[in-house]
Amino acid sequence: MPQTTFLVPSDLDGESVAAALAGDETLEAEPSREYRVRFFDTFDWRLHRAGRTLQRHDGSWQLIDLDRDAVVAEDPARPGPWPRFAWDLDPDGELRRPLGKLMKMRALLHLVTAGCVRERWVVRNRDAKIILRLALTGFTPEKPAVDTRLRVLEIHPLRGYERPARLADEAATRLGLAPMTGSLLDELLVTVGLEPRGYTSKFRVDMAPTLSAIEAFAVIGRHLLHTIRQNESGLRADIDTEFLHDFRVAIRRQRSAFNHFRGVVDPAALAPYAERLADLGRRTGPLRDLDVYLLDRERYRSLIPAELRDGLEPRFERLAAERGRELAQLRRTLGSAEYRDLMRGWSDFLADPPPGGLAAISILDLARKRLRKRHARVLRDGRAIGPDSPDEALHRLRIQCKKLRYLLEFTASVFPAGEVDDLISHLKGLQDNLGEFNDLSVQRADLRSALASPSGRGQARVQEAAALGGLLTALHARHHEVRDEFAAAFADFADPAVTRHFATLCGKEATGS
Amino acid sequence: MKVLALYSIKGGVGKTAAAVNLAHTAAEEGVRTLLLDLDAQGAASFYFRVRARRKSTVDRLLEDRDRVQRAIRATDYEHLDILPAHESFRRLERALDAVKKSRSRLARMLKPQRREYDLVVIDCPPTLTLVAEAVFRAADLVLVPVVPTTLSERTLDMLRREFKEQGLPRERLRAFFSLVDRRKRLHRDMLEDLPRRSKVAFCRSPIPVSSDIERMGLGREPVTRFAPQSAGALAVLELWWEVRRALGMRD
Repeated sequence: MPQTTFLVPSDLDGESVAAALAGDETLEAEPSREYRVRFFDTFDWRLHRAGRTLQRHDGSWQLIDLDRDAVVAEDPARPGPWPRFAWDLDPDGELRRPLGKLMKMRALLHLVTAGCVRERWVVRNRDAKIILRLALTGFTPEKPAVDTRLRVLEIHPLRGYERPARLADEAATRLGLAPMTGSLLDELLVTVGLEPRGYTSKFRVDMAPTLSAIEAFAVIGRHLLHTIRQNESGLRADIDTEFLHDFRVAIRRQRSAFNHFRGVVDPAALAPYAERLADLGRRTGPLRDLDVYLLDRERYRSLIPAELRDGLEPRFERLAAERGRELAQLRRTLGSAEYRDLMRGWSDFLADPPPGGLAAISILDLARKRLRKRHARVLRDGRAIGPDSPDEALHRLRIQCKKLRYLLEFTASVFPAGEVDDLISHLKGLQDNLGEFNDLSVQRADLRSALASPSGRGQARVQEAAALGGLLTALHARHHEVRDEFAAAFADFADPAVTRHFATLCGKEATGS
Repeated sequence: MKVLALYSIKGGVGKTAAAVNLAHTAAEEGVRTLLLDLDAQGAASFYFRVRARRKSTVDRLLEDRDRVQRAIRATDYEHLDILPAHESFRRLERALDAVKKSRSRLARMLKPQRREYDLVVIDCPPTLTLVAEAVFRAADLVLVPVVPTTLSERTLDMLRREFKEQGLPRERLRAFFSLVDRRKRLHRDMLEDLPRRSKVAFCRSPIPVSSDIERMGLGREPVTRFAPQSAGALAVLELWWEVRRALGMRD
């Protein structure tokens, strides 16, 4: 018989609740305890999504399984500042591995801190044997501070004494107590006005298939604008690299929507915003490129022999310094009147976008029309690629795939549930191949230009050149492998079954074959 | 899961107190422990204030594993549960004789408990018959309290021969001194000589005769709980360490 949990309203006195639950048996108070808990997660709720949370409690850090309310891994808290990244944690501790897997490059953010008072009672029978344990914990949110207190009553049955627990459950129900359905963390979050899993980097809007195309454009635009605004402060505070990433992806998605929805909105009215958003996107590029390099620092080091590794450090140090300058630059951009004006203007625009010729057609019709074309284009371009095609052809196909992917994500909700997800999974395999190919092209080009003008002097210069050469060799090998894997990745996407699936989705005979 | 049996053919030698205190000490260390009170007098159950369910009769327990599950009850201590004695346990001998494969029945009855417990402590009835045989077969270690008197030595030797006749390994049998009164010359001499003479291995930690242990019946709590710093409780703790090692359990 598992433990049961109820929420207790603030006007009910703990002692009398416990007395009501004890019934005719003897209630005995045990010493109460005071402590404090703090909960942490990443901005995009990576722990919560995995059914976990990180808790600071009793001088230790605990990874909690939310369903079972049990500690999965635990490290003693060390003096000094709180860990921000998984790699700040004790390498030999229990938390480093599981947290690293879940958080990856994201930073821990404080969610909520609560002061707790835990009152406990035991219920004894006529032999003075304990037959039931009760606990009532009051949580007072301290950060963010709110006036409401969360009070949680736990009924702990003891093996072989199920009846008293059942009677206590019934008594709790008679008192009008509501069973706690979610986890304690979720209750606390709701108490302080936070929505569990309230942010995701995945794009998801819900639209009826009959919605007009211009309404759909506005819905998508507002969602993306919200994402942009949500990531601003984390980006400016430089909490981790993914704020910028999500910020950029939202801009890119928006620009892609301009293309997919062409004719839906008045082109003349849209043009200045398209221009300004493109400019904003461009300004974020250099910082992101530097982030990608610096995130890959350990991987790059691992690609070359140990004796060459230190040769890479001067370069990474320069990149880190450059990143600082780029960040300052971007902060100025985000703090500018021009940026504020763009955000305000764009928000107003989306409230009532001026219609174009296709404004009134349904989003379903528009989606089918545009998907058909996009899909055909990817198939056509992909089939034209042979073993000797230039890298540029793969690069163009990558862009085509990305457009198709965004369109599928924008319109997923107007098709039957799950249909689009299946197509996306096939497309994703192809995108992964093309993405890695492109990354390697860019990295090799960068390394070549770095080799052309090596920095430093004397021995340091030689060491850096050797390291860059070693890295170039390693990337070269992988680049060829990825290029060879393209045919299989494309074949999976171009499979007749997938093509038929697309055709069904678009409501017409197979296209592009 | 390890099975530890506390066994004595004589009554009043501190067997039940040892079973209760050892089980409690193990549980305090986080060892998930089940105390099986097979002694119809139900002294161990009394110490823990646990009464058996009316329906948990010996016949039902022997025929139905689910019954065993339902007969187990929590004590007031974490990690420590008990299968309390039922008055029908007086018929244990006859009931065991009535079922098939009587000698291995107890071992098979305990097998499903492996998932939930690390240690089973059996408080055995003072008999040397079928029940004892079944317990000896189920146990990894049979621990015998020995009061340092001449008569005890003979009883212990009887038990050793019984083990031999049943073809049970001698290492499974271990004795410890109980109710030791160091003021008595005889006790001091026996403590010295008996382990050297006896063919049965002795634990090095004797349990003293102690007013604290005697008081267990009044407070109905293990001595290791209500007087953890008393000489009696400390002796139990040392005995537990020896038993734990003998059972091959982790420190």
